[in-house]
Amino acid sequence: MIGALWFLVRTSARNRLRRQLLRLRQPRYALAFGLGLVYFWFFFLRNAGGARDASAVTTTFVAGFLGVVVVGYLAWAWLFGTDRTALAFTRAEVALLFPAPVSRRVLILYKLANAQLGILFSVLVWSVLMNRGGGGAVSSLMRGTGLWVAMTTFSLHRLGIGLLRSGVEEHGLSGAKRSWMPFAVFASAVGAVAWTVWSHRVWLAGDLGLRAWVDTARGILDLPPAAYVLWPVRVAFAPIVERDPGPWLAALAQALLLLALHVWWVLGSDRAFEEAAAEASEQQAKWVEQMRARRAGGAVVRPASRRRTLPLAARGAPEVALVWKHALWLLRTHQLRGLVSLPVLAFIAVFGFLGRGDAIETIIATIAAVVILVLLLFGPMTTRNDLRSDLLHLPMLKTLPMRGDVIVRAQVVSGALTAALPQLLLLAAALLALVLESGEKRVPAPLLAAAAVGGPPLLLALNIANFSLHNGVALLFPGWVRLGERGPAGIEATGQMMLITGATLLSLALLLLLPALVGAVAWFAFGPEPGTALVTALLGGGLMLAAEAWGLVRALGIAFDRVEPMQVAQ
Amino acid sequence: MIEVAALTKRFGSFTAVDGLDFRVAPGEVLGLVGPNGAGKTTTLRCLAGIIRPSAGVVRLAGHDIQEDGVAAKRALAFIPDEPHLFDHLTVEEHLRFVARVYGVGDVEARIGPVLAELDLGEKRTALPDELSRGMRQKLAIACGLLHDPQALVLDEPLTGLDPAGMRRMRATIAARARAGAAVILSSHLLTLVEELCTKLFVIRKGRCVAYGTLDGIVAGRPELAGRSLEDIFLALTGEGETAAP
Repeated sequence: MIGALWFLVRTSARNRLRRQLLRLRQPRYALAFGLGLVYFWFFFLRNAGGARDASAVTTTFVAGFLGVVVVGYLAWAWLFGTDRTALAFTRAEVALLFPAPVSRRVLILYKLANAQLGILFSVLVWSVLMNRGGGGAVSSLMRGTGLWVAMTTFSLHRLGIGLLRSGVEEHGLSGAKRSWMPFAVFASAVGAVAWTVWSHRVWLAGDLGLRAWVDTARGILDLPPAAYVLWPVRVAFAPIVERDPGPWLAALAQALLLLALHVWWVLGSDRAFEEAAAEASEQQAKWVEQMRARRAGGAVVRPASRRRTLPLAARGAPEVALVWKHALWLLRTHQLRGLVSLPVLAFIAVFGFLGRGDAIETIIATIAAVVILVLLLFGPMTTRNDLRSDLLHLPMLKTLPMRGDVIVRAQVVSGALTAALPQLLLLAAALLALVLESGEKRVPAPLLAAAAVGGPPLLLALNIANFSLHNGVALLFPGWVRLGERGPAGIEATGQMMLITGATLLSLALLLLLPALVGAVAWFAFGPEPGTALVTALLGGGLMLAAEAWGLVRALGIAFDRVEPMQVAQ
Repeated sequence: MIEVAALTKRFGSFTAVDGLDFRVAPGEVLGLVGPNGAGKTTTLRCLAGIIRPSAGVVRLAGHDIQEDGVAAKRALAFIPDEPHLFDHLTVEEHLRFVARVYGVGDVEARIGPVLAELDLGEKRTALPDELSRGMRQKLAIACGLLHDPQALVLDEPLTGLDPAGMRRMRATIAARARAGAAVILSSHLLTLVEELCTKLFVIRKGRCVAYGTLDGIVAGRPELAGRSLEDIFLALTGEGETAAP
C-alpha cells in the first residue's frame, strides 16, 4: 500500500512539473516566468555566496525571525485553530483513499510525505536567503538539513493541533478530557512566559531605544521558567544556526528527537482524523474547484455574519444592485479589514514619530498624505470588489438586462468608492490637523479651504480612473489578472503581477497628463489668489480625469459586450 | 415569443451551430434535444446573450438580442444547468438583487410565493455554500421566475432535484407556459421532453435534423411510427446503432 501511495506522490509531482513546463511555451507565461526569475534574482540571489556583509540578512537574524514567526503562529493556532490545510486531502484522495483498505496511520504518513514538497521548496528559499551571510557548500548543507528538520517539526505540530482541536470540536467535553494534556501543557507554557515577562517588567520600562528594548526582551525570555518553555523552539532551530560540525551534530540529534516526538504525537492522535480531514478537504476542494472553473464559481467567502445586511430598494437604477452586492461582499469578507488596517497602522506610526521635534499636527498630516498616496496607487491591488471578482460570474452578468458600459461602471464605482472612503477620511484628518496647527509653519486658511473643496472630487476621480484601468486589464487580459480572492502562486504569478502593476501605473501616468495640464493652466491663471488657484486646479484636473475615465468605461463597456466566457476561462 | 433565424456560431474554424431557424410562440414549450456536443448549450447561450452569434438573428419578445439587448434580456429568464450564484448573497438577497435589476416593484409580495413554490422558504438566510446542489438549482430557478419572464430558457433544469422537486418543477414549467411564456427546454430526459414539450427541435453537429410536433416529425419519417421517443431520438441523431446494447 505504501508503494501505491509513493507512486501517487511521485507521479503527481512529476506531472505537475511537466504541466508547468509545458505552459511556458505560451509567450505570456514565458515572459512572466522570465520577469519572475529576474525579480527573485534581484532580491534573493544577487548577493548569494558573496563576502560576508554585516548588513546582509544573517543566519542568526533569519533563524530568529523564523523562530518568532513560528512561535507566534503556533500560539495563534493553539488559541484559535489552524486553517486546517494541514489536514486537507484532495477530493480525489478522499474518494479513492478513504474507502480503500488503508489505515489512518498510513494516510497520515502519506499526508506528511505530500507536505514534503512544499517544505523542500521553503528550505530552498530560506537556504538561499541565509546563504547571503556567507559559507560554503558544507555549511549550506548543514543549514538546509537544520531547516528541513525545523520545518517538518513545525508542519507536524500544525497537523497535531488540527487533529487535537478537531477531536475537541467533535466530541465536546469528552474530547477535551481526552486531549487535556496537550492543552494543559500549552496553558502552562503561556503562563510561564507571561509570569517571566511580568516579573521582569521593570527592565523594559524606561527610555530604552527599540534595539535595546528587543535585546532586553530576548534576555528576559532566556530566563527561567520562560527559557524552559521555549526550549523546544530553541532545539528545533539550533541546527540552523550552529556552524561547527560537532555542536551541529549534537543540536541535530536533539532536533531529530523532537521531530520523533512529534511523529509519535501525531500518529497517536488520529482518532478524529477522518472527519476532520474530510471537512478540511471539502473546504479545500471548493477553493480548488473555483480556481479551476473560474467561469462557474466564485471565491470561497466566509461570512462574518449573514444577518448583517443592507437595504436595497426594488425600484431604481439597476446597476445599484451590483454596487449593493459588492458592499455586502465587503461586509462579509476580510476585504474591509485590510482596507482599514492601513490608515490604522498609519496613525499608530504617528506615535513612532513623536518626540522628533515636529508638531503632532504636522506628523498626522504628513503620514495621512503618504497613506493616501499609497492607497491611491496600490488600493486596487487589495480591494478587488469589482470585475476582478465578478468576471467569475460572466455568464450570469451577460444575461442581466443592462448595457455593458453600465455594468462596467457599476463595477468600477464599487471598487473606487471602497478605496476612496478611507482616503477621504485621511484627507479630513490631515486637513483638521493642519487647521489646528499653530505657529509660523501654519498653512494659510484659503489653501486649506481649497483643499477641502477640491480634494474630495479629485480623489474620487483618481480612484475611478485607477479602478477603470485595473478593471480594463481584467476584461481585456483576463489571463494576466488574478480573478477572485486567491490566485496562482509561484514565479510566473510574480512576473505577471509585476507586468500588470507596471502597465497600470504607466497608463495612469499617461491618463494624468491632460488633467495635470488643465490643473496647471488653472493654477497659473489664478496665480495671485492661491486659494482660488488651488481649488480651480483641483476641480479642473478632477473634472478632466473624470471625463477621461468616463470615456474609458464606455470603451470597456463595448469590450464587455464582446467578451465571451471562454476568453475569461484560464 | 422567441424567434431564431439563421443562427450560426463559430469558434475559430469550428462551427458549433450552423444556421438554425425556429420560433416559439407564447404558451409553447420547445424541446431542444440532441446528443452531447450537438450545440444545444451554445444555442441557448446565444439566445441568452452570453455569447454573440457569428451570424443570424435572435429575437426575444420582439427585441433583437444584439440590437436591443437590454429590452430582450428583460423579457428573458435563462436557467443554466450549472447554477451561477454569488457566494456571499443569501437566498433572499439573491431575489432582492434580481428584483432590483429587473425592476420588480412588488418584491415583498413575490418573494414568499416564489420561495414557497420551490420549497426554499426555510432557507431564506442561507448562503449558496450552505445549500445542496438541488437547492442551489432551485434558487437559480427562483431568480429566473421572479420577474415573470415572457421567454423562459432552461438548460437541464431538473439536474440535482429530488423527485418532489422534479414534479414541482415540471408543474412550474407547465404553469408558466399556460400563463403565456414561450419556453425552451433542453434536456436529455426524454420523458420530461415528451411530457412538457409541444414541439421538438432535434440538433446534431450544430444542425437541425428535425423540427416540429412529434406527430409531424413522425409523419415525415413513417418508419418511426409507433416507436418510443427514445428510439425516434436515436434514429434522428444517427446514434441508434452505436447506442444499441
